[in-house]
Amino acid sequence: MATVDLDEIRKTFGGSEVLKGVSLQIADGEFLSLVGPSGCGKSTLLRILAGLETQTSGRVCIGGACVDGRRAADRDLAMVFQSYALYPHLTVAGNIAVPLTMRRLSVAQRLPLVGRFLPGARARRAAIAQTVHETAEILEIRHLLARKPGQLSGGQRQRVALGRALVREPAAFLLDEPLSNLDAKMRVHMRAEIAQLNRRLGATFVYVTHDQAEAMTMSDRIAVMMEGEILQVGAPAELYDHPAELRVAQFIGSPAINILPAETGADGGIGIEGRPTGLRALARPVEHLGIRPEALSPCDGDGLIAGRVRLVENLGADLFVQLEVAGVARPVVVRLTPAARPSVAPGSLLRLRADPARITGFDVAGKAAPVARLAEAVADV
Amino acid sequence: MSDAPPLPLAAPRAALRPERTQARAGLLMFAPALVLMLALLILPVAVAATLSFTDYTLGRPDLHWIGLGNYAEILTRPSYRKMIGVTVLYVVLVVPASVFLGLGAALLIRALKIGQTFYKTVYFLPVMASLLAMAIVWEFALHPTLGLVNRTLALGCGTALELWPWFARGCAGGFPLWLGDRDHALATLAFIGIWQSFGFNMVLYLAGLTAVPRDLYAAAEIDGVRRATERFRLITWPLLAPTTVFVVTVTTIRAFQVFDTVEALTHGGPAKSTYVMIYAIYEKGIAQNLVGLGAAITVVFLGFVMLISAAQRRFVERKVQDR
Ligand SMILES: Nc1ncnc2c1ncn2[C@@H]1O[C@H](COP(=O)(O)OP(=O)(O)O)[C@@H](O)[C@H]1O
Ligand SMILES: [Mg+2]
Repeated sequence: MATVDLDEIRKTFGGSEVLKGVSLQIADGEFLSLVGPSGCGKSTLLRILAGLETQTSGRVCIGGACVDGRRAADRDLAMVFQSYALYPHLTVAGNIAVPLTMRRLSVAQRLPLVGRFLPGARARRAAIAQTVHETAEILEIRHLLARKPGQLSGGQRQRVALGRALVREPAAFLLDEPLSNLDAKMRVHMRAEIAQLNRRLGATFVYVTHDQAEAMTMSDRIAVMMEGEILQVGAPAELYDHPAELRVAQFIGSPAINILPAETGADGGIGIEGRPTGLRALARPVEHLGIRPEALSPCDGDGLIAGRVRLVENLGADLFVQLEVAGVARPVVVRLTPAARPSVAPGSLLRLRADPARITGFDVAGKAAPVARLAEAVADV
Repeated sequence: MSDAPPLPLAAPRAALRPERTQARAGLLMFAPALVLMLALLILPVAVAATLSFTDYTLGRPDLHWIGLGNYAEILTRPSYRKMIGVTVLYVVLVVPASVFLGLGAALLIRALKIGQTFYKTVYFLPVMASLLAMAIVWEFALHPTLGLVNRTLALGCGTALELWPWFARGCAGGFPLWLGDRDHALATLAFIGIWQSFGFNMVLYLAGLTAVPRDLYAAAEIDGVRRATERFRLITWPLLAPTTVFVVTVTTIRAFQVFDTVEALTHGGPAKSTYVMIYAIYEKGIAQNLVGLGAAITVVFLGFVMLISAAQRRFVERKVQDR
């Protein structure tokens, strides 16, 4: 259990810079998700933290001590791989025991055949078997201990890989897309379980995923990474409600945030397609407005935007309606309650208003730019 | 429905049983393959097995059944008993060395950052070169007086190497005759056999190594496996087990089949110290026309090979169950 500090980490692979100065402070016991699209350098960063890869520059500190130049085996971390990386010829018990035999037995005691008969080996092996059983109990895989990985389902292998990480008490747990090989149902189940493990153990978790839903549901904090840089770090709600960048806003949330092109007049008034919105840019001119699907609602008056219904998706608890809006390339998505269903037949016109407090402005560079309601504007925009 | 009278069926009987027509067509289609297999693969072995119970000699018109006579001769005559011993000894000398050198070379080459292709090509050269052609080089190198080997050894005389008793004896009384020495001939042939075959095993192991997931090594490092030997024991060796079974089988069968170096360099001598089975088959069955005896040795040889294949199958089946 320890803090993890990454300071200005850079990594170059054969001329191309994969990590461009990544800094990240992770608190003791925190569940931090590193989320971003495939190929943005998440695994590379995690492998540098683990010591499996050497950074080109920058520093890695664990528990306050800088561990650069220390090999992975000496960093006291546990890691779960996307491929699980189980030893195929060992039983489940054998797999889970490896980290313990490597640390608790001497080199001589680990020798095949003769090692067992050395003084002390028997007692230590018994203790290891005991710990393996306790870990298996936590993960409910006791009945699988005698099997080989090849005889297990994907979800069971996942648990064994977790077991191999949990069996020690490492400084931190590193998980690299551990759920991406599971089916959808299993994934939802396991993400709750992993989050619970973090609370129960009080251990530091660094969780890499490309799935924003995983990051949103499991984490204390999320670091959004793109093209080798961290764009924003914050609690899930903060990232969702106050994205610092257009790219973050678009990456977090499903269905995705609606991005409406906007123009800012000389007086700071913001318009869409030439029509005033009743909003005003506070600092910099605003180029885009981001509005979450649930921040939009139907209205009778003119509203903010209007469009024709293209598609209605009924998810049971929610109704997602896609609108064709003039001047907006992608369909605008609105979340409604199923009760609103009769009023949104495909082809019908729908006028929408938005909660001004939940509109985010973005400037020409894609950075969040503050907006406020015009003083003289009517109560509802 | 059920009490309706059965309709008269005009269709031919065969059409009622499509599976039978299909079976007949299938039989017809695989018949050529079956005939070829019988004629080319099974028949020769059957002929050899039959001849092994006769005293058939090429050129002599008559042929007598002598039952197990040929086999009795193989088992009782010292020269044939020695033949089996020599063959097995050759296999025992060649197989472990060739397999472990192949594995070692593969591991070393994989660890290289540059020059992998160069080493692969160099180690594979002896495999590609005809052993008969290379035998000339070996004969030349191993010549007792003019050969490169003994002349190089002689250079060491008078140096600290003489502290080694074997070396001192060589300096005093001459170095071994190698191929001409009954105590050294088989070991020398085995050396050439290893030299020739380990490159092939290296290639098989290189292929096997590419199938070992890299993540496993990363996982082992995280798990605290620090030493290369333990990494080898935990991951490389077990994951290469299928390759090893295959490599050992192929190398063993090929070592049992050693012939070209014997024919080119020793002709089974001196004093039958290199009289291996295939050479005996060749000498009896083809050079001396004693077909019956040659066939009996062939059957014994095939017995050995089948034994090895059966052992390999058992290994593979056990592995499959393990997974
Ligand atoms: N060993 C390597 N050699 C060269 N390029 C690499 C290596 N590992 C990763 N990369 C490159 O670095 C980039 C980031 O990879 P990675 O960290 O695996 O992304 P992510 O895990 O976010 O999907 C990719 O473009 C990938 O091709
Ligand atoms: Mg990755």
